[in-house]
Amino acid sequence: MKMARRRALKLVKRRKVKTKIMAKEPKFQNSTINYLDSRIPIFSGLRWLGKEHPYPKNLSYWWNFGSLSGVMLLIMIITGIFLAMPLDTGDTYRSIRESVDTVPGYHVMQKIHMVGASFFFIVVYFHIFRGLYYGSYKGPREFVWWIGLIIYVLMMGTAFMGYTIVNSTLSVGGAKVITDFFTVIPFIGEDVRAWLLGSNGVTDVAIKRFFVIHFLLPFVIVGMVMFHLLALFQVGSNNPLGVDMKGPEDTISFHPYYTVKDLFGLSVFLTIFMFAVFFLPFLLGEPEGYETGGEPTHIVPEWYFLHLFAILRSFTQDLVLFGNVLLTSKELGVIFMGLALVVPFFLPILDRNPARSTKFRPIYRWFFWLFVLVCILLGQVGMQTAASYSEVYIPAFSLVDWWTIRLPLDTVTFGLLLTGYFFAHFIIVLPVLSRFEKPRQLPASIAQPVMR
Amino acid sequence: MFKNLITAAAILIVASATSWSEGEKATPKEPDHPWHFSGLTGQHDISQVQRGFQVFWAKCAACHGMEFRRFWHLEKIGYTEGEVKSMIAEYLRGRGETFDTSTYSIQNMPVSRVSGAPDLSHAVLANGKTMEQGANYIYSLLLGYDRVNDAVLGPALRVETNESSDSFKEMGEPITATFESGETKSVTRKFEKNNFYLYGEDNNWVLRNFVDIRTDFQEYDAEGNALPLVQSISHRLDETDSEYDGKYASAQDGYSALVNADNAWAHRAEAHYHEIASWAAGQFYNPFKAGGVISMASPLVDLENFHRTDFTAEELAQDASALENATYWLVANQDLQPRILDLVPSLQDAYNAIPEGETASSYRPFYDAAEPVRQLLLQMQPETKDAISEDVVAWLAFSSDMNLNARKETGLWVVIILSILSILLYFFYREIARQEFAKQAKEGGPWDENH
Repeated sequence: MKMARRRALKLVKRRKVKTKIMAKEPKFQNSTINYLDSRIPIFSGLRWLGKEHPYPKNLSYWWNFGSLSGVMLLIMIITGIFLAMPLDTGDTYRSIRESVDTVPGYHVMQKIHMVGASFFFIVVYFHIFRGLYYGSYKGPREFVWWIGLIIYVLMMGTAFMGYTIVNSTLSVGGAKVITDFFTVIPFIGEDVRAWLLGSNGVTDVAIKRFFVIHFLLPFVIVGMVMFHLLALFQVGSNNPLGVDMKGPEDTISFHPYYTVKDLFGLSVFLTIFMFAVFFLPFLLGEPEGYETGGEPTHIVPEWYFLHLFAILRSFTQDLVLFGNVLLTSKELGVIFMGLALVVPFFLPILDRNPARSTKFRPIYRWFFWLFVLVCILLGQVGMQTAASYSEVYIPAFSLVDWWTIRLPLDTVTFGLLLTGYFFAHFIIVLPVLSRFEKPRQLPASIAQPVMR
Repeated sequence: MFKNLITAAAILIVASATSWSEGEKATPKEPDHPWHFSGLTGQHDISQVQRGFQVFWAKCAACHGMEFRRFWHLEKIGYTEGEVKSMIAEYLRGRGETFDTSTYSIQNMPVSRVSGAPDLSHAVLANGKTMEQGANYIYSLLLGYDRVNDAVLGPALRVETNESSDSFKEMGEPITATFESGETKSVTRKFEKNNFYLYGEDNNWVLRNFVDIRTDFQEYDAEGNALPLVQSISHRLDETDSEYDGKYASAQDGYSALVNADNAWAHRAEAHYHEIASWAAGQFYNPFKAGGVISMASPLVDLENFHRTDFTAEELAQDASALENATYWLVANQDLQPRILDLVPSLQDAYNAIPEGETASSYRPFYDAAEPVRQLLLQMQPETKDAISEDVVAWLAFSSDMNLNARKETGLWVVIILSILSILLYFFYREIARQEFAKQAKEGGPWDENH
């Protein structure tokens, strides 16, 4: 409390000093820039971002994924606006399929948007797991983490809406499944679903509404990104060592060092991204996205939702208490899927270990990687059809067949175990470890790593 | 850092090597076929696509539609605007409509005419995770009828007659068939191109076209369900119906032969018994279709004309399908194309000049005009069913992804330029890092004491 007050006072003081300087001498050599800047401080803002704001000097390539996410957001918005131009929301499937071959350049835009959705999630997942590994969610960056998670949830909503407006067999099936979740709300569930769809089933009414939301949400995300950055600039970036910046010996200005580093990362990323766009555009698609009508034979969400889908399907038994069905398996699935999104919000409270970076936490390091493995395996479980629920094989060495270890588990049980660990990681492992694990000695500062 | 990379790699290996066993009986995996468009630099072969379109337009379009494709897209596969316009006019005339040429750019291809026949606009994408998989699937499906009919008819009969299957002989080995007349013959069995044959010792077939027996004698109950084939045939054989007179001989022979013979193929077909039992009229067996039953008859059965190159002058003059097929060969045999196209106008003139009362083959001037065309056609390579199927699938693949050629060409440059840019930026980054860290060591970075 005291500290916050002192900090606020200092801020007030500094602003006074700054306004005094601005009034006295011109900030920039060029008079036009000076004129503009004294009225709208774009240039001093840029100078502050690029030159005056301190960044840790040891950020690794893992820190590229933040700016890459921003670039992906821009790419998606720009291509999305162009894709919306010839879209007939009354008959989206026909409109999209015909525009691909009749509107010049549309096919490239469409492939970028389509493949871009996956790549957006790829960079965001890297960004999130980087934050997990280096403890970027810990104080004073809780708000950065929370706003980031809100962005992630908004992104999933946006991606889902985009998926449904294609109006193919698969996306209509997906829309049915997702809106079906709301029926687990007691008493008013069915009504909520009807209001969401504007009808009893997935009709044009729902598709039009979903299109509007799909168009709107990205701009909400842009707003949240602004808050994400605002919170970040207030507290400064985390770094691979997880120790605070202590003085000018620890810092470097963003421009030109990180500008060029981000550009290099962007260029490498775009090379891979464009390779996928031009040569493997259908890799992450599903065949039933190219059919209309009928029921999909195999409902499977986009890969970035698979871990949640696996958690949803893990529950096959009703929760029975004294002979009464307390919660049906479907309700359990939906509740735990929701919890999977909610639990990460509590990370800053659950993990109170003084070391931010997992580098200095020899025991937690293993649990972190176990968590990564569990997430990937959950994704794989989500991918299986109901029919392929059978034994799970984990080959110890994939090239040698006879080294196969056969797990005596069917996919549902396996999924349930993985779901169990997913939650145990947050609720048990992190609090216990944060209490009992003794981190290795932290370096005194970024400039002086520990001598060993 | 290094340790983490190793851990991450290990995790990826374990995760990607984890496999799930299939819970249900899988449909046979269609074999890989080398497609022109597959691979990083693969492109649609436009002349193959055009051949495929001709087959599509002549055969597939009778039932299947392509409602998400416009007619003018055909300009991309070598047709001129005039040709496409006359094609639209002809198509609309068939439906009793007239073609307003101002609507040319928005004329879509027809919708499916038979309910249940899927639209083929994106057939290749709709049938596989990748274009190659989808193409392999359709290709296998088209040829799948022939490959497996030898495994079909056996079990229904075998089960119906409670035949012991302990001893059986392979197809092609001679067996003794007892016919209903009491006569016994040593015959060999063979399945070929949808037909079941029993060959006598003199190498003449005693029975042919067993598949036809199915369609000719199939009976239905009051609700329209197909009765078991053996039952249907026996009913018919008991009746005296002049309509079937001509077919009795072969049906009787085939029935008796099958009842008495031990069926080698019955064993291979065991697994498919349920599908066969549930067959309704107009359903066919195709192992590549999930469930093994397909409602589409083999589209290649009546394509025999495509195997012909020996047209008579009569056919050249009068048979539209012969000429249609001739144009098909023209695309397939590009070297002979200009020479034949040169001769076609004089052939048409000669045809128009045939006087009343004369026929094409008897009228000498026409015969003389037709002979060089006939000779050139004889030199042409007939297409096999495999090649026709490949062409059709090439057209379907083109329809699914029309921009593939342009996209891959552009993509190659985009990726090359971006790779070079990445390398340049890497060295630029190294240099900037060197300079900036030298400066940082001397002066320190930005720092706000108040922060």
